[in-house]
Parts: sequence; C-alpha cells; structure tokens
Amino acid sequence: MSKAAAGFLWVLFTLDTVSAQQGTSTRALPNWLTGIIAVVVFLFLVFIAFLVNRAWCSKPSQESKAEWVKTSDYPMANGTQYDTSLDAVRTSDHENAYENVAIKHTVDTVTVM
Amino acid sequence: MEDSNGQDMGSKVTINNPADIGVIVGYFLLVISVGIWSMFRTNRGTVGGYFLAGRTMAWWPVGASLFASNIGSGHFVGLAGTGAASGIAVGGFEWNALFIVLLLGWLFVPVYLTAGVITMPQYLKKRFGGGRISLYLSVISLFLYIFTKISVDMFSGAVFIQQALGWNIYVAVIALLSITALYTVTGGLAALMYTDTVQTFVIIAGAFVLTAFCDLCGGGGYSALLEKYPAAMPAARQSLDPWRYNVSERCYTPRPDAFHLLRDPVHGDLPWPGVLFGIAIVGSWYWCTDQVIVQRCLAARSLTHVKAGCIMCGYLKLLPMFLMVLPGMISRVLYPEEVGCVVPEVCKEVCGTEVGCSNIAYPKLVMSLMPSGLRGLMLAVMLAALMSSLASIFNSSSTLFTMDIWTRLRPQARDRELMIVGRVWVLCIVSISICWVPVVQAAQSGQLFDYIQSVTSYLAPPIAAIFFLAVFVKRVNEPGAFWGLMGGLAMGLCRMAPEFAFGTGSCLFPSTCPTVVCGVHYLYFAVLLFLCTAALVLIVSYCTPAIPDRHLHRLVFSLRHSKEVRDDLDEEEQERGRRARREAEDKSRTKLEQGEEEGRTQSGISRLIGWFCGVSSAQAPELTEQEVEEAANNMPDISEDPVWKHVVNANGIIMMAVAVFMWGYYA
Repeated sequence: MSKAAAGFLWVLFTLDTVSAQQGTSTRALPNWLTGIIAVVVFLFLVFIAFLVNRAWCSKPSQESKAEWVKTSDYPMANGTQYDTSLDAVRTSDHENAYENVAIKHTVDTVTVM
Repeated sequence: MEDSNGQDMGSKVTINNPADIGVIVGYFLLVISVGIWSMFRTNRGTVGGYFLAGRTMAWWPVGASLFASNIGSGHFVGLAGTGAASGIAVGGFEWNALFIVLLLGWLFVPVYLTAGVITMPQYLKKRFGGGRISLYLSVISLFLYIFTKISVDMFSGAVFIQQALGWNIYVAVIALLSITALYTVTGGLAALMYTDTVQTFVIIAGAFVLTAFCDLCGGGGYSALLEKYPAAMPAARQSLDPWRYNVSERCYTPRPDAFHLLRDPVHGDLPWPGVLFGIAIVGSWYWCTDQVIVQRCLAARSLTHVKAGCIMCGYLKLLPMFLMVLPGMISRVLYPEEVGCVVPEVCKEVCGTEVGCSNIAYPKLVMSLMPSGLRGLMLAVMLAALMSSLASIFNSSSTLFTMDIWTRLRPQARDRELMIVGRVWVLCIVSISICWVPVVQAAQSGQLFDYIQSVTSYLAPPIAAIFFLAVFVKRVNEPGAFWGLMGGLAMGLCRMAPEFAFGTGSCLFPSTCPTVVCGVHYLYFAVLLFLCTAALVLIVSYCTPAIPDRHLHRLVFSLRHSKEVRDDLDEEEQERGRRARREAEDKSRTKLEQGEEEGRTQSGISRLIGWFCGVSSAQAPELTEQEVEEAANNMPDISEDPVWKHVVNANGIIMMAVAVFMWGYYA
C-alpha cells in the first residue's frame, strides 16, 4: 500500500522535474505543489530511515537484564574465608584457558546462587 | 584604466551627503565598540583563548559567525550578477549548504572535538601520522585563501566601492584591511565572533531593506518578476565591428529556464546532477574540512551548541536567494541597457569590462534606487560582509601558519612566541593582500576572476575525499591518503592548465578549448575527481598495511565514543616539541637569574603593545611529563543532554524539510 503510494508520488515528482527541464516557463504543477510533494517524499524517507534504524540497530531488551558473574567474585559468593582464586589453577600460558568464551556470549541468564 | 573609472564615477551618483556618511560612521563605531567590549571579556593570552575563544561560545555567535564568515562581498556581487545573467540556479550553491552544515555539525565536528585538535592539518597528522599530508594541506589551504577567497572578496568589494564612492581603490582597500587587521590582531577569535554577530544583523537588515524597496518601487513582487524578466533585453544589439563578431540572439535573451533550480543535465548552464552532487562536494570541502568554518565550531561550548549553531546558520543560508539572487534579476529588469549589455564596446563604457556587466547588478540597484541614508546603510552592509569574511580568513590562516608551519620550523616555540607569530602573520597576509590589489584590478578587465573560481572546483574535491575517508573509513592509511591527494592534484591540474591556456571564453567569443578537455562541466568534473580520488585512496590503502585501532581511538567516526587510551601517531614529534620547549624554559630561567635587572627594563611602549594585543609577558610553565599524561586521560567530552539532543535532532529534520520544500518550490 505504502509502496504504491510512494511509487505514485515518485512518478509525480519525476514528471515535474522532467517537464521542468523543457526550458519553458509553463509548469505542469504549481510551485507550491511540487514543494509539498518534495517535502512529503522527504518525510516519508525519514520515516523509513527511522524504522530501519529501530529495527536493525537497537539492542535486544533482555540484554541489559542479564548480568555476568565475574570469575574473581565467584569464590567469594559462598561467603567463605578462603582465598580461593581461579587464577591459582590457571595455566600462565593462556590467559583465558578456563573461560568458555562460547558460554559467555549466550543470552542465558546466569544467576548468583 | 583607473583614469577612465575616475571619469565614470564623476558622472554617477556618489555617496557624499551627511545622512549616508552618518550611517557609515555609526556602523564603524558599533563594530569597533563591540570589538573592544569582547576584547575585555575573553582571555587572549593563550593559544586556546586566542585561536579557539576559550571554547566558551554559545550557539548564537557560532551560527552568526558561520554565516558572516561565509557571506562575503563576493556573494553580493557574484550571486546577484550570476542571477541577473542566468536566473535562480546559482541559488543552488547557497541552498546546498543547508544540508552540508548538518553534515558538519552531526558527523564531522564530533570527531574533530574528540580528536582534540585546533587545525585541520593537525587532525590529519594525528589520523595518518607522518608530516607530508599535513604539510601539503597547510600549504594548499594558505594558497587557496590568498588566491581565491581573499581575491574574490577584494575584487567584489572594489567593484562596489568604485561604484559607490569613486574612491581610489588603493585607499579604500588599505583602509578596510587596516580596520579588519586591527580587530583580528587584537581580539582573537572571540572578538571576531561577536563582531560577526553584529555584522550578520547588519547584512540581513540591509539586504532586507533593499529587497523590500525593490518590490515596492521597481519590481512588484515575484509574479511581476516572472513576467518581466524574460523581456529584459538591451536595445543595443547591433555589432559595432561586424568583421570581428556577430551578436547572436542567445547572448542577450534571458534564459528560458531562468526560474528553475534544476536544469537540463546536458545543455543546461548548471546541470541538475552537478547542482545536487557537484556543489555538495565542493561545499563539503568548504563547510566540513576548511579551517575557517571548523574553527568556529570548535570554539563552541558543547556539541549541542555546535549543532544549534549549524541549524541557525542553515536557516540564515535560506536568505541569500531572496536577498541577492532575486534582486540581481530585478536589477536586470530595471536596467536592461546597463546590466544586460551585450555589445562589448557598450559594456566597456558601462562598467569597464568587455565580457558583460552583470557584476554591477547589485551596486547599480543600490546606487540608483535607494534614497540617501539607505545608500550608506547598504555600503555598510557591503563593508560588513567584506570585513567579516576577510577577518575570518586572516584569523584562520594565522592559526594554520602558527600551529602547523611555525611549530614545525621551531619546535621549541612556546605560547608567547606562538601568539606573537600569529599576530605578525596577520600583518604579513594583509600586506600580501595589498600587493595583490593590482592583479585584482587587472582582473576587472580580463577573465582572471573566472579562473580564480575554477581553481576551487579543481583543487578542492580531492581534499574533501580525503577527509570523508579519513573520518568514516578506518582502513584508510597514510600512503593511501597521500597518493590519493597527489593523484587528485594531478588530475585537477590536468584540467586547470588547458583552461588557463585557452581561456573560458564568453558568449560572443567562445573559448577555443577542445571539447575533449573542457567539454565536461566543471561541476561534473568535481564529482569525477572526488570519485577517482576516493577510489585511488582505497586501492592504495588496501594494498598497504592498516593502522592498528590503538592509534585511532576517537579519531574516526565509528570509534568516537571509545574510552581507550590512544597512542598518537605523532607522539614522538610532540614529545620532541615538549622537550625542546622545556629546555627553552630552563634556558630563559637561568638567563633571567643571571641578569635580573635586565629583565625588568621592559620599555613602556612594548608593555603597552603587549597589553593592547593581549600578550602577557608572564607565561604558564611548560607541562611536566606527569601533567601531560593527566591531560591525555582527561578526554574531551561529546556527551549531550538527551533532551537537548532530541531538540536539536528534531530541529535538524525540520530544517531539512524546509530546505526540501524550497528546492521543490523552485525546482
């Protein structure tokens, strides 16, 4: 529907520019009408751009709810006094040897238990 | 040449009655008092204070100053003249800027702000590293300032002053330049921006008065113009020298498409794809990458103020069509014999040039239509336009010279030295401009003016392409940018040289330039040049290694919000400069301790000059290593208040809608 309307407006728009190039001072449409049509087309394009921006570029809403548990906080979660740190058992060769990167980026919520 | 002009002036009305002179004197007093007032408001002793007005400007001086530094006397003469000759299409040059200023405020300035630069070559140095690109840009910018902007403004100012006053052109130009230089040298950017605000008011008010006058006395509104313009032909059409030339009909008949902005893409004098895209490219060089304009935006208080200033400037840019182009056309209707002259001998008698007299359209209107008192006002308008744009160019070229060329020559230069060099350079460029007057005067009888205009469209597109790619494409690197610039320059020169050699020609005496070389319209050529340069830059960049992200934080659009630490590519050079300055400081301190009494004996005159120019003898100590690091961590802020952000965004869309309506209305 809106496509057809836009197409029709576009035809009107191009019709006028084409006839404007004939070099005659008679116009197919009065000045104010070409102006209005141009503005309508422009606002329509802005609207489309706005929708596209909303649909593609906005972040999913759940993402903000999910909070990652920081690995360094994890041993403290049980309230123990031990100075347990995951760093102690990590190899020094690979910094992220025990961190599963794949899990980190799923949308599953991880709760602090 | 001068003698004949002097005789011409004798027979014409000149400004010599008390009302006119009173208005002009009042205008000068106003400008000078605003200049002095703003001098005391701001700190002029530091680089940031003098060149960037301390970054404290609100949106209205920013917007007004953008407009005033853009509108020069060249607009009054050129826009009205081209309007008289070929109709409203030349207004497209103005109305394209409505979109380009939004580009400036929304896309370019945020990046320049976060990069923390003062000049554009400095930005390129941070973005690409190496010295050659920034050196090329500083040199070509200074070249373009002197040979295009200053000459065009002075040429048209001279046309007006000769028409109005019949003064000796040297006296007029030297007087004008001295007043301009006075407040540029003493006040710095803040004084400039406040006086620009006053100048904007004067320009708009005066031009409105003239337009209203045209409608009441001579024209009878737009519909009357629509009716009478096609009949505005001179009576003298007979060739006085039939062996040399014939006067063909199309040379004196107004164009049938005079009331269209968008004209035939093949035969039109300003084809519509060129008007839409070619002007946009040259315009984006002017508005988004040129020191004169960008410096004003960097002086603003915050990003929201920049955007609001850009919108204000955009709305103001709607006016030139009604205040200059249409009055120019009315002038042709009222004075077809003079403004629309076609026979070279007649033209020579009317305005001293053979090719046509459309340039006198606006001055003619002012001098013949306005009563005394208002004539003085219109002269004040011309002076306002001339002085504001010249002053901006002086200030910006001095910024360029000081910050890019002088610091390269003398890395040990400290604030105080830079301040002095900046002011001395203004004086230098004023004297270069005065030396340029004879050339400008010769141009009035020749075609140099046209050459000068074409220089811009052949040299600017590569620069615009480099900045677009530098800001938006992370992948572009130093060799790509450099070879792109060089390739673009070569292509531009290939077109420029034959045009210089063959001449642009006129309607009666067409240029002999072969169609293969000169047949492509210069606006199309600008588009082609832009695309070729961009392609070249991308090809060379992809064949050479990329610049790592850690050098690019807050230097490209996609990383503008990044908070990471940036390793500046020009770090080494900066470090060397800091070390040299620190050494210089130590040396001067030991010297001061050795001869304490010598330092005290500063003469009264030099102290007075120092006070007047705002150069304080005491200067801040050079930053230590630790302070430099702290300053680096203290990142420039481009966050905006969400409410005001939405307000300016909405206003931007409204302005674009207004602009689109105007384009549609006059399509």
